[in-house]
Order: sequence, then structure tokens, then C-alpha cells
Amino acid sequence: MKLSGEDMFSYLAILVIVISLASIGMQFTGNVTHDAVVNVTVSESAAINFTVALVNFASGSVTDGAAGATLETGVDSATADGSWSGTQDALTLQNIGNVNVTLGFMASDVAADYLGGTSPTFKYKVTNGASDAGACVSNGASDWTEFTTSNAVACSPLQYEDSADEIDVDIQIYIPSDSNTGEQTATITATGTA
Amino acid sequence: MKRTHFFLFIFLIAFPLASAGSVGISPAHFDEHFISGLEKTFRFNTFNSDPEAGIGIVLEGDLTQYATLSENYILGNGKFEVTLKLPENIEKPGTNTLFVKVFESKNTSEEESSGVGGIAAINAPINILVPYPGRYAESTFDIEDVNEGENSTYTLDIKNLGTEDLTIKSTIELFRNNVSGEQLLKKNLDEIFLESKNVLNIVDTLNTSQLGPGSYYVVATVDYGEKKILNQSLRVGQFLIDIIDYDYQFERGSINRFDIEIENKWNSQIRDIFATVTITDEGKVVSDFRTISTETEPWEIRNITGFFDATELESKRYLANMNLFYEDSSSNKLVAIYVQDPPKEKKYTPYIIIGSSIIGILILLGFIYLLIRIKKLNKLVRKNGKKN
Repeated sequence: MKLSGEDMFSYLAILVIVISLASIGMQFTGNVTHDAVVNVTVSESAAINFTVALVNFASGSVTDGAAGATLETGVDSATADGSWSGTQDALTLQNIGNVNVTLGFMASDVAADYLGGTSPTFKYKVTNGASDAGACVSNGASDWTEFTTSNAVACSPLQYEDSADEIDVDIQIYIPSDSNTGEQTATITATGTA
Repeated sequence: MKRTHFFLFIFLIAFPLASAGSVGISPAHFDEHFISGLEKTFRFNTFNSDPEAGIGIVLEGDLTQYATLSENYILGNGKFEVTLKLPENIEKPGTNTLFVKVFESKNTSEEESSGVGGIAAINAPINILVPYPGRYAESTFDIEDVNEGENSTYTLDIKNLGTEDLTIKSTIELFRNNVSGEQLLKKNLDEIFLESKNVLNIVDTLNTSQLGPGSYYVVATVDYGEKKILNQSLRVGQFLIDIIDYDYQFERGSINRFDIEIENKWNSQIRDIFATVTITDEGKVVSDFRTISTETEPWEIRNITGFFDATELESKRYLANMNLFYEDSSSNKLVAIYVQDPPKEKKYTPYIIIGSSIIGILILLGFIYLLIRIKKLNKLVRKNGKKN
């Protein structure tokens, strides 16, 4: 088949257009093949949150003739030898940071100073939150533990993953019949160490 | 003794604890090598979920005498600095820690409510690593559990905390079950020169894809003139839910809780787990039930529970066929269970009747004896009267 001069010009024109487009395209697409890198630095942050920060046993009295009354979160106070009533929820503590923390507890006063009387007790017990199995690793307060005025480690560590970052802290106090009267004040401090 | 009616007002943190409280600090820690006379400023950000709540800041632990704080109270959230001016020399080698403590600071006069409450606090340590004289290194070793057919990743960190530079040779060995078991793998790592105050972090894979499911023992040896042995366990998972325990004693005449303890042998979550249990007596089905569905995390052991109706059953031995279903698999276990009579209540009535009867007879005998004695006395009196 013979090509005419007109055909030759047509093919030449198409070839020029294709080469031009290709060269333009190569310039345009050259940068697209480069990797894009976005640098993000997430700082480690240690934080804890008392989502339930108060257990209110309110006021009451030891029953006449009884040696004392034991009040405990999760247990109806009406069952104690006293005039208290109602069931109080435990304190709830959550690790809201992005690192595990070693968690300890201390109180500003021991039971003898806080409640007074004959053999008072002021105790706590740590359990994992209902949906947070394994939150408190190596639980040092899985049984009732007397508060002291120095930091006692309970969780080594308290984890930070959302599925396992919450614990309940139950409180138990034994108020002897000859305890102090009036307003008794103490402070519980939960300290997380990164 | 007359007891007074005491009224006790229990106030444990009687102030603003009615509301939830949180406190946080970032960065969570600093690690620094000791340099004689070093003066350095560490910048922290602290925060409270309540922008109106205060945060107290104090320094505790070693080195407090060499540190100063830019702020000791911040409202809501904010930045502060800790400036540490180290002495020429610290006698105690190893880690000396300055704790930067942030805590919820509450104004006791603001709000009052009775109860037992808590305050949150966080310690952010500034660790100053003082080199030990001579050769000294601290190492940590971790290895990840895997599923069969996978290679495991291990991490070996070596910190040269001595004053001398070190040449380190390390090996990793894997044994079946424990260190006295058969050696299955050995990997020699390249010799590495590690200068004083430097940290070596090795992250690599171990060829565990050929290992069968089970437990293995891995030993990392770090040799820098002194040998440090670091042990870890490694589990190779199998897609299996195993029944490891179950209830087998039940009470006749009632609906019993039936717990089956299962173990996830897979290094991943397994979903949709439930069991059907068929109770048979000499081949005849007498009861059946299905447990609730659940899921298990890797290697988790947990109970699944169903309820076994033994109201119409005799006290005897039965067979329980437990079929366990999970995702697209199933397993089976045939076991013996026992239905027993409920414990009998102790009846004291016969003892009371017998005891009362004996006491009654004794009283009656005593009464008769007294009557006889009185009659005898009367006779004696009458005889004496006649004689007189």
C-alpha cells in the first residue's frame, strides 16, 4: 500500500501530538511517583481520671449494744449494725493517658486517726472494671487492704488500652461504737507513675 | 454499760469530690545521662478535665535539692518548667529519679459534701542515669507470641550504663518447653561495639514458622565480658478452643448452672463461641441445652454457662456430650456427670422428743422418790408420837 503525501503529513501530525502529550504527561506525573511523608510525633501522656470520685455513706450511728458497724461499697448499709442505709457504688478510676502507669493509693490518715475508737479499720480493694478484664496487672490490693499514709502500689501497671483501662476501688470502714463523733475528714490519693 | 448513741458524719475528702476529677502530664517521663554540672530545663504540659479546677505541682524523690519549679499551681491546664542543675558528682550509680508530681488541687471551702472520695495524682519521673564504674549494661528481651506458620518478632535492648565502652556478642536460643528441653533454634547476632551511655535497640524476627503449636522457652544471652541471661516464654498458637474443665455434680429436682471452662489456644481473638450439651441415660436423651455465645481474647481462659434442667431426673450417673462451636470449627467432649439428691435438712424433732421424754421421766422419778420419802417421814413421826 502506498501512502500519499497527505497521509504522511497526517501520521506525522499524530506522532508529534502523541510525543508532545507524552512529554507533557511525564513532566506532570513525575512528582506523583514521589512518596509523601507526614511526620507526626505523639508525645507520651500520663493521666488518670476518677470517673466516680465520691462514696457518700452520709451520717448515721452505731446500733446500741453493738461493738461497731461495717460500711462497704456494693453492700446495703442497712445490713450493718447501724442506722446507715443505701448501697454505694465503688470509686472508679480510669487511665486516660497513652502510657501504662504504676498505680498506688494512700490516705492522709490511718483508721485510728480518722475514725478513732477501738480497732477501727479503713480499707480498700481493687477490682477490674466490669468490661476491663486485665486492667490492673499484678493487683496488690485484690483483698481488703488497710490504707496507710504512704503510697502503696496496687496495680503494676494500670493499663491504658481502652478495653482494659478502668478499675473499681471498693471502700470498707469499720466504725467502732466508741469512735470519734462529728465530721471526720481524710483524703485518699491515687498516684499514677509513668 | 450504757452505750451512747453516736452520730458519725463520715467525711473523707469532704470537699469537691462529688464531681469526677482527672489530672495528666506530658511528656510522661524524661531519661537523661548524668553529665557533671549539667543544667537543663524540662518542659511539661499539665491538664485537668475541668478547666476551672486547679492543679498542684511538687517535686519529690532524689535530686529535689538540685531542681526548681517555674510554677506550683496551674488552673485548668498549662505549661511549666523544671530546671535541674546537676552537681559535679552523684555518688549513687544507676538511676536517680526526680518525680514531678501533679495533683488535683481543691479548695476545701468551695463545696462540701460528706463521703469517701479520691484525688488523682500523676508522677512524671526525670530519670538521671549515673554510669556505673567499669563495665556495666542493663538489658531487656521480649518476644511476641505467634500463630503456627508465623515468624516471631523479638526486641533486645541493651543499655551501656558503665563508664567503659563495650563489645557485645549476643545469641538467642529456643528450647522445647523449658531450658532443659531440646534446643530447636540458635541465632548468633553480629558483634556490636557500644559506647558508654549509649543504647542498642535490636528488633528482628526469629524463624518460628516451622514450629508446631505449644510452649517454648527462649533465652537471650548478652555477653560483654560478663554474661547476662534473659529468659522469655513463647507460645505458638493453634486455631482451637479447648474444654479444660466443666461442672459435673448437679442437684436433682432443680435447674442447675452448668459452667464449661474453655481456653483459646489461638494468638488472636476467636468469636461466636457456644456449646450445646446433650445429657443421655443409656443412649436416651433426657435433657439438652445451649450456652450463651461469647468471644475470647488470645490465650484467654473463661467460662461459658448454660442451665441444666434436672427437675425430672433420677439421682444417678449420666453422660454429657459437649459440642463446642467457634467460627467455622467445632470440637467435642463426652464426659460423665452426676445428679445427686439435694442435701437433707437435719431434723431435730425426734431428738427433742426423746430428750424431753427422758427429762420428763427423770422429773417423775424424782417426784415419786420425794413422795416415798415424805411418806416414810410421816410414818416415823407417827411412831415417835405413839411412843411419847
